[in-house]
Amino acid sequence: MKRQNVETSKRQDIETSRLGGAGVVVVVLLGVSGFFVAPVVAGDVPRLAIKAGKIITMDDVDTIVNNGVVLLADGEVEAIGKASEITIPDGYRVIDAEDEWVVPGLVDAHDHSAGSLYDLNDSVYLTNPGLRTIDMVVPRNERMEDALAGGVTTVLVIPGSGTNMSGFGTIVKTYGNSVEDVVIRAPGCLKIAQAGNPERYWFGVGRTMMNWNLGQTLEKAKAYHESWTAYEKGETPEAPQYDLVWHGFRGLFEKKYPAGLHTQWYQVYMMSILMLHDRFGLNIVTDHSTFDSYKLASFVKERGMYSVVGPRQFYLDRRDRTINGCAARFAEQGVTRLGINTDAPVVSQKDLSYQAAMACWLGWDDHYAALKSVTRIGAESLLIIDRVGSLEKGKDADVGIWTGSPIDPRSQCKLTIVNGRIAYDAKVRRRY
Amino acid sequence: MFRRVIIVAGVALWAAFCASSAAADVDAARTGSGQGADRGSIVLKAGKIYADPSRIIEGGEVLIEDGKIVAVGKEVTAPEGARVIDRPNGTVTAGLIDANSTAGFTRRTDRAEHEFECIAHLRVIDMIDLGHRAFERLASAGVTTVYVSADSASVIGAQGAVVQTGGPSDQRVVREAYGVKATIGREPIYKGSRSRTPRRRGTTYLTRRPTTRMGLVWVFRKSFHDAQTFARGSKPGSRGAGSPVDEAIPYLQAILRGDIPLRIQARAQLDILTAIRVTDEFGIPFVLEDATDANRCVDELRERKIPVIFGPLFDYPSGLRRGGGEANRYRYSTPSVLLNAGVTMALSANDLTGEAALPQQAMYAMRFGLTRRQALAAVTTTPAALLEIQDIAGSVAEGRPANLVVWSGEPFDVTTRADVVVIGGCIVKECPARSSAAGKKGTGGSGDQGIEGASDGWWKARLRGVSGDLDRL
Repeated sequence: MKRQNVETSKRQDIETSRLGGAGVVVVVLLGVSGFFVAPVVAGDVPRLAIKAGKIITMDDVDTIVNNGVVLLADGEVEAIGKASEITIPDGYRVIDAEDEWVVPGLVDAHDHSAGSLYDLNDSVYLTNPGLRTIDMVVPRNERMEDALAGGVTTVLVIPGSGTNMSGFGTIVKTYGNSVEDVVIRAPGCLKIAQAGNPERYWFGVGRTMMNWNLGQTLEKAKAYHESWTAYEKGETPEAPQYDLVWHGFRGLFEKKYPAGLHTQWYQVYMMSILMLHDRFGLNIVTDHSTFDSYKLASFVKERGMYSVVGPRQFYLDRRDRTINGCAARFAEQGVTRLGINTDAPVVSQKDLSYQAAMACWLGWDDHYAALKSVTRIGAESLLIIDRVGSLEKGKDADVGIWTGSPIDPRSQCKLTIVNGRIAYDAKVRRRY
Repeated sequence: MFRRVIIVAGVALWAAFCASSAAADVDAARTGSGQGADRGSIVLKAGKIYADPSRIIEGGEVLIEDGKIVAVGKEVTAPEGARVIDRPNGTVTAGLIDANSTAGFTRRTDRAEHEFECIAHLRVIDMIDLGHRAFERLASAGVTTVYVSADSASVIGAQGAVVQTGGPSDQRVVREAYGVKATIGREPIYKGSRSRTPRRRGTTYLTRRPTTRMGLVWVFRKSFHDAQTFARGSKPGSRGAGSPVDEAIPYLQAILRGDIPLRIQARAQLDILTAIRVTDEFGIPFVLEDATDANRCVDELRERKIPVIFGPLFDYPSGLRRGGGEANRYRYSTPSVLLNAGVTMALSANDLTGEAALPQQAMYAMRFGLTRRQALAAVTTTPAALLEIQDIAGSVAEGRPANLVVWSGEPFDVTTRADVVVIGGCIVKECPARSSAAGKKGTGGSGDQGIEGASDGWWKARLRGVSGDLDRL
């Protein structure tokens, strides 16, 4: 491939630039893999300089740098720019990716696989205020090796959808030695599951009861929050009593973290938005958003909400006899805050980029937006865009080096860097 | 009519059986593990006395009178008629202490009260069978004192007890109630009869929390939160899911005050880190039990000065350890990693008794990095300090109860066994002296035929067994 001239440009057609590249890479997905977990190297974070063929920064003006250099130091991005403008200082290990793409580490806003899979659903009660996934995060587990091989560096670990309110999620990096190493924010979200699983609880639990019950629980949490707010504003003289059950919800009402909704199907989707966004005024991220949820794209657009689609990417409309790409149908109605998830281990975490590729195949024309959906949008929806989701000076050094566009199924991730450390290197030990 | 006769006869037979076995139990208890009620003066002479891990007396003697150590030194003045046990090739150490044992646990259903998840008000001593065979096996291996920790079926379990593995029956119980054990991991979920998810249908309100680690941690936090709120003179805003019963609250408050030491069983790295996280929240110091993955949280343990009762070491985990997936990253070098990092560590064999008990744990720990003194401290003085019984156990000194072991050679060597075990001045085990440790084939008795002969016999027996089976077919 003829290398393009050094240039910094606004949005380009990123698909064409790698066509006819190093050849078609056939990614053979081997189911069998060793139980080897690469040790996290202790000591100082190395200083890295990546010579890149193309840098997709995913910053807010969509900068793309051809023939650029990325400097990583102290676990942060130190500098990004054209190769002609940045001289690599001494003491930096140079990674030659002159034929490759450098992309921000992917972000999955819906994951279970960074935790212990036995501990997802505590289904004794329908609503479970107080439960939290930080108590079951398993750093460096086998499934996180998959995530790294797929260029995924940040995931939101949430409890399962067996109950309406199943606990607080935790945002973690996919590489690190201990729980405290990997956690970015806890609570990462409050997981709320609307229909499509909780009604399987047992006999007699229907959507009417579930929604009423969920509303009641949130009312109590809100009352607790408001009593504290009144005290903090000086409206009431006496501090309310600290209550472990409700205290964690204060951040939810202060919008420090969102409510992650398991919600799908037209009617359920609508009621979720009306109840949680309109009635309780929460910052909500509608996860799944599948089946015919796209019929409510106008709802999402009006309210400026984030919608994360997956793991199902299409809906078979029996009445219309059509197959609809969920993300495509949202996008064509003008929804731009559109993310893609895997719900790992439902879909393996390594396939996050492939999920986005599938959304494109099913009709989402905007390939750049699809790449954005698994990087910047994921981070924005979780309110962690100040740390991850794009390659900008001062942000976490989470980088994937790909043989081409991650949205192209032929591309593979060759090297993954998390917090400035090389977490996966296909040359050293290829996983697939 | 006939059936009634059978029932009456059956009941009579059963009663007779119970009576006879009860009588046997009483005998066993009176003589202390059924051996040696002799409490006269004893003089132990050995090639080396490990008074404590830092003080070794070459060619020393120990005088025992009235169940106590009266004198330790190069030479003691033995009273008239004192029994002299002379083992010039042997060594003497204090009786070993296992600070995390399950010895004496009775029937499975009896091990924990399944009615509540927090049973800090209940006591393990009410359940321990002091006549259990495990005690005899432990005593025979050289373990004289054990802390029987509560079963891991409860999130916050019962109060443990410190007991002697043998000796005078009126001195078997050292501490009736000491410490409360909490468990963080999957075991309360697997073992708790109310928490297990029914096979044929999912978890519902008929199941009890915890059914996951998340729920388990909630029960732990909610218990201490409620106790703390009551201690401050107010009532918790909500009493419900995860709340402890009223009876347990004073004991939880005693833990919060530091009056009752808390012990937490956690094996996997995430569980150890969770234990640290939740105890930090309430400011409770604790002792870590089991700690299979301790080598993966060395920094956290050292910074917070958390003592570890580590063990058992194993080739491959068995039972719940295996099924729970909590112990699949075991490593033999962990004890030396912990000690070198400056973490206080005692070794434990937990539910392993007999040959696999504490001496073998110390042996493995030595093979993978501990010095003999470190290993000896890890099974004597350190556990004694952790159980706050360092004044009465863990070292050989005047005035202490005579809990001693005479080893056939250097302690924890592969070829060394506990030759003489003294608990509370009673000789509970005494093997005949071996004339020489090496250079002589066989050690008397059946060993005389030598290895080849034994091997041959084994094969023949095996073959006979096979042909017998074939005949039956």
